[in-house]
Amino acid sequence: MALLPQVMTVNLRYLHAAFVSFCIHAILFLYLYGTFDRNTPQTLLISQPLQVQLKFEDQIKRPEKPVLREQESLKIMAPQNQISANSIKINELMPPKIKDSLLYSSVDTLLEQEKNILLSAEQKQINIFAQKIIETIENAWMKPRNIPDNLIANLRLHIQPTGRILKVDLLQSSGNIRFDNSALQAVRRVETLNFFKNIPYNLYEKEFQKIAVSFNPS
Amino acid sequence: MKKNLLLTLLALPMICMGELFLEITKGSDNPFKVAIIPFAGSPKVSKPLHQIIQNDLDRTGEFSLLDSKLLLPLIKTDEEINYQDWSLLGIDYLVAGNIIQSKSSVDINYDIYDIQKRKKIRNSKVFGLPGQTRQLAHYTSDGIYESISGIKGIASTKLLYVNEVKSNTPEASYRLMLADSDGANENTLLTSSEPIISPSWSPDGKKVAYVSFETGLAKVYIQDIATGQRESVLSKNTQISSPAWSPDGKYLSLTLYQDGNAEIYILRLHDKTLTRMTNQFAIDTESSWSPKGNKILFTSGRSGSPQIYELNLRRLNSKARRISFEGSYNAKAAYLPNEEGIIFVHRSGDGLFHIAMKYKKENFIRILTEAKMDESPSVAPNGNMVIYGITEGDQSMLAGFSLSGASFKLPASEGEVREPAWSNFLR
Repeated sequence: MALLPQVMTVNLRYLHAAFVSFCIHAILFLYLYGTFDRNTPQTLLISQPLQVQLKFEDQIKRPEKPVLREQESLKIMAPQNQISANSIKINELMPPKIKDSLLYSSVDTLLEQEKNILLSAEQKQINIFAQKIIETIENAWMKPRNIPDNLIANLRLHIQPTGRILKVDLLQSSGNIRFDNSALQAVRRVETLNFFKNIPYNLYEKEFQKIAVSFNPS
Repeated sequence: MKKNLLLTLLALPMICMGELFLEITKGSDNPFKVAIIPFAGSPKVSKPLHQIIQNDLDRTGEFSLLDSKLLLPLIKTDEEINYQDWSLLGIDYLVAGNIIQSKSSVDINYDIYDIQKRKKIRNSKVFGLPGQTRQLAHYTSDGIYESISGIKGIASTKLLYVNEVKSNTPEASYRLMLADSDGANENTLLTSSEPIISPSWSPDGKKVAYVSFETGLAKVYIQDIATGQRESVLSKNTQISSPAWSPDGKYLSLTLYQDGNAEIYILRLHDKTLTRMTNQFAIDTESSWSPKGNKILFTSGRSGSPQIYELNLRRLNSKARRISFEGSYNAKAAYLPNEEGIIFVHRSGDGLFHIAMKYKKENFIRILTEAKMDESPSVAPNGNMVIYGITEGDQSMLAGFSLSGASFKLPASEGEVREPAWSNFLR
């Protein structure tokens, strides 16, 4: 009976050792098995047979390579991209050499070219009107004297289709009251941009409804 | 120019998400041409009115005013404005009006026309009392200035200054004066046999603070302009000087000499608590508040020469930061509205004192005046004009300039004038 406590303590030590050893081994086993590695894909066990349909090359319909004749290509393009009559005329008037080259190009490149022509025409128009706006504001702007160098004030103008400037926001102040004020005053002084009636409505909607204007004299 | 535009058009969709972005790089340098037709009405009122308005607008430096004699052949009463004729003269804005007089009132009704646009841009009425032509004129000039330039005018603000006269009675040799922004319409607020210095406006324009030596020591007094009631702000037995009101009117910053040398203190007016702001062996004085009231500027000799320091009041135990570095003398600084810079007295290399300006963003100063002994600048509430003291011969008087380039002098009616202080907007 007197031995019992000693045996108990010995057993407890063994128990501790066994537990620790179990833990170490368990961790080792799990590590080797890949439990801690999240990147290892989990293998799926297929319980049901998969239904597989085999397709042979002959059955697959390949998209026909576009054979291009000028007339046809135009017919395709017209409804797709809403190209104006003008651009078609340009196409017809092209010298034979270009026509030939067009014959061998694909629909995609043609469409892209058309888009670019349209875009650059639009861009040109935008530039002309933008230049006009700049000139008008520059004429109305009295730059204050004795201001720090490198001041920049950014405004946003909200303009009606008639050219009337509805609202001006000060997007970024220059930090100088007189400079900010002179910019705001210049826009207020302009009040209406008369040439806006010459801007096509869709272009106005796209580009000229809201304009950011930066006063940057440096 | 076109290249620039293209570049900005190409580059900016990234910044502005496709919004059209235009850059304005040039502005006109010529001031707007403004013509003022003498207002219709009795010449007794009309003539001085016209003169005062012309002078007010001239001092701003922002317009070129047409001589009214040149306009005479064009003026037709009771007719539509002939825009064609006016635009041939190159006029941008035209002002016309009439005076409506009755027994108890003098009113002015005036219109401003934009000649280029061929339309009226403002119709305004100013109400006044008989005998207040000057005030009527100043209100009218402010209206014209505001609608053309977009900035609030300062013609109807007031000035404080000290007038020293050599009179037979020694009791009246120093006078604290109140006048219109053009130096006219002088009123004496206080006369004393001992010097009066450093007048300062309360932000509401109803009270003034100043230093008087009437007790033998420098003491700061607050005086109500309307009633003339005055009281000493502190009964301490020490020299007190250079008062400056905080923008909310609740505090007064002062210089006290009780610690052996000059230090800046802030006094809470309603319970007279004093807080010491500086602790230096050198002199600290000439404090002035930032427009928001969160900082003060002062002059300190701690570096060996007078220089300008800035102290942040919102931070505990904040250290004063030196902000002037050019030359061996920079003092009497005041903030520009918006805190974008300071105006101060600067001694240049030739030993002369000038009024200078330094913008926060810039690391150089701009010297704005050319006389020899320019002192104590005070900035107008719209930040567009500065008034200061000059010495011509051995006469000291007031002079002013606008940042737009005009300059003017306000000669003293009698004796010497110094230490001007510009009031806040009074309406």
